[in-house]
Amino acid sequence: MSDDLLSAFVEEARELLEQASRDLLALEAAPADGAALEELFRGVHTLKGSAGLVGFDAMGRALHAAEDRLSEVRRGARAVDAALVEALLEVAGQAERWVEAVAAEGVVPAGEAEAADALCARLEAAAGGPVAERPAAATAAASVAWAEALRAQAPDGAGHLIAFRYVPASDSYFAGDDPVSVVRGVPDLALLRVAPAMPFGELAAYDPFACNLVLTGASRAPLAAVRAAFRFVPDQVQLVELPAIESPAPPTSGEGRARSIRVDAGRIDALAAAADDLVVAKNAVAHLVAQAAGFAPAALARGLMAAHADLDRRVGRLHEGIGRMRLVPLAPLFRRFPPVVRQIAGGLGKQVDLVIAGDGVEVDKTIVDGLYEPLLHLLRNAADHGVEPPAARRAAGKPVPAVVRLSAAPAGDEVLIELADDGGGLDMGRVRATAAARGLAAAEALEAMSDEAAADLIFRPGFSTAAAVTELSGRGVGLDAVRSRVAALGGRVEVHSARGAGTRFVIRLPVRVRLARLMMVQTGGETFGVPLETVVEATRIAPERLTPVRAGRALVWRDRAVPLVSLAGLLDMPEPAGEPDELKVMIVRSGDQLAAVSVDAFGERIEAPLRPLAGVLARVPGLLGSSLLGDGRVLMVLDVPELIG
Amino acid sequence: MTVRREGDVVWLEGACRVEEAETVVGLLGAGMRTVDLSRCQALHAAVAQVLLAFRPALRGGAGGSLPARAPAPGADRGWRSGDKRPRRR
Amino acid sequence: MTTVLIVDDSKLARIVVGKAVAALQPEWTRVEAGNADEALAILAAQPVDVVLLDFNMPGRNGLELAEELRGRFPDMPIALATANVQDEVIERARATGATFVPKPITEDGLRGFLSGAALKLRQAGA
Repeated sequence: MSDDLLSAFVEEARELLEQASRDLLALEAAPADGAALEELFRGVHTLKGSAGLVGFDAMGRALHAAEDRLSEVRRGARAVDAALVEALLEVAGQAERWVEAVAAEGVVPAGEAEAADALCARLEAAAGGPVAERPAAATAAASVAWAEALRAQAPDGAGHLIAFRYVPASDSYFAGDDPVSVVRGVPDLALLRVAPAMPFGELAAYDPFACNLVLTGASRAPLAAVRAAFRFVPDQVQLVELPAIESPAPPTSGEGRARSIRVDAGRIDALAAAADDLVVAKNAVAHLVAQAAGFAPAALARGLMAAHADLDRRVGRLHEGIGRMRLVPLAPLFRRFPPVVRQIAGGLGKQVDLVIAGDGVEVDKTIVDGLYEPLLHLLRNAADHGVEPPAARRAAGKPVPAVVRLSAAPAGDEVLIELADDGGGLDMGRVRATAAARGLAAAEALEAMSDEAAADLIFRPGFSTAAAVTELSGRGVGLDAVRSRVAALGGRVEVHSARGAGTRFVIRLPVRVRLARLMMVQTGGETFGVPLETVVEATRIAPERLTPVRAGRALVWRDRAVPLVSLAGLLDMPEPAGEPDELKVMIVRSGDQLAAVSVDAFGERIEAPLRPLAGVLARVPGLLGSSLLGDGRVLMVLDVPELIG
Repeated sequence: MTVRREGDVVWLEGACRVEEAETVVGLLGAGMRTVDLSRCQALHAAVAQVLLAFRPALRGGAGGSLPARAPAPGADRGWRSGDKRPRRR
Repeated sequence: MTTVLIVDDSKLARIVVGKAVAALQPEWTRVEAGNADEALAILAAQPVDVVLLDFNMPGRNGLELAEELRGRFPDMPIALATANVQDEVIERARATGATFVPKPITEDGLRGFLSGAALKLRQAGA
């Protein structure tokens, strides 16, 4: 079997399986979803064929059985029910393990016939007709399947998760249980799906008090804390630990409920800074380990590498743990707003109800601290510009008290904060006119612009004008200040508006601030950032220490010959004229090699949130992302090892 | 009173409790197609389940996509699949 | 006419629970018992629709009483009020079909159980 064929198989199979899992979950939520069914059927069919092509008979057989079931559904011969979905999820889970085994070993695993037989039997049993009760034998195996499927949805780097599947008994509502409120009590929720347990059937016969829900999700909290949230319904919940992919799971203690102590925030900040330093120190060790590998005895080199890998993992866990300590709920921040909004609205002769939701969501303390100003600005804006005066609301047939809704919800590694009013929405004609008057875009360009794109112009500096400024929202600061504040926190803000129905600002922020430690360097009159961890040393070298080598120049650094390149050359910028008295070089690690990169000047070292690049820049090699500096300038952050290639 | 009918729109307001599920079923079963959640602060699972079953158009505030107005934070995944609701990016 | 029986050895607790029930279900008639034996005597003497039991009581505890009542009244809504419980107690109470109500009892804590009970009684009566 050629490697090319196998790697193509792995690549394609991963894609197909990912899609299949999505389709299965869609089907589970909406058994009548024809599009999902078709896509799933096609995917399974293709994958079955591919398995045959690489001679993976066991996998082909299991997928064939799955395909048979799906074609019965397509014919209308059977319905999609929970048992079938679970059996199919199990097949997908096993197929994924098989594919990863192929990826890891480079050969098709032998002796998988038994696993295939078991899957075929499961599918056969699921075909036995709609099952009222979940088959007991299936739960152990099936639990893995649903948990695996959940993991597939979890954000990258979600780390250790506790997955839960909560199937309330059908008489739960009579017993006084509210499954939604139970799930709300799960701390640190990373994912949640609410779906019917069984298809709803004929709605004319809908029983409002027969519980028919499956609530699945995952939490980042320790097992004991998740278990505590379900303590009154233990018989209806399955919990499965999903260890972090890379690092081993932190030990989950059997401790009961979470205890808390008060710690001064400054101490945690100091601890976080120390952990950051530790990461840098660890990176320095990595370099020494790589060096030692060159001449130390093999056993010692291996030992060093293993010890370093261990250190790496542990430092990573410490860093992550300290990051979690800084997570605080949004509630105290949100609670500051209702009186402020009442006061603002009162001053304007308007009635505004501020409705708050999701304030239990936790985010990094830095973000909470940095959000007050921008949210206050948006709230003022909503009360002042968003909400119409009472007379206009009456004329529009709206209740006089306006609703402004401030809500937060986790979305993977991000938190979505939304501020929505039920006012008149943006007047796009006026937005375009203002943008034209302020010279923010040419008239033709404005005409061609979608409403969405034009609405975004309200965040541009200079959009708010003295004419538009009122007592409250004005003060010479426009929404551009909101956008730059949010950007400085590593987030972004956008506006959606529906004429007559309201305006909605959506802020997306990282739950945890990822501060990159950057060294600023200058070349060709421009400033760039370089992540500190890629720089082994920043040093000055006398030109005499340079030696010409075949392809260019090199210098001797700590008894090693290190090739020298200029940053200007790497960036295709003009080289500085003349030879300086001394060269400023960064010693940079690129893979196992070291390189010296000369720059015009070193700047200060800073910590700033690193934002990945979007749009056309996202694929530019050598660019890691950008950082917004305190003065509003955008700093491009370079991936120097990649530039050296 | 936390379920209110206004024209063609069912308003769920404040904390919607288990009893309200029946009222909402009545209204949606009678053909109301829109539910406004902008004044809703908590939704009992029984009421959320009705919305899952009847799939009315949901709106709230400016008619946004934030899952906070679904039964619980992050619940959008379960609601999204096959959902007929208009959903904005 | 719905009757709720409140069983708690503390008089104060019975007053607090009674007030919460009155606030949530003003139409319901409330009767009280100070221990399991009194409760059984009341049940023998008059119809009772809903029972609220304190877990910690001298003599037979709330769970034991719940198990006995369940044998006699398979569909009766029964709540067990408790401050903190071991998993084993939860398991037994679930098996009995009793609902947990956190102590100290508040209107909010009681609302779910009483709403569910009211629904169940209404459906049974319909």
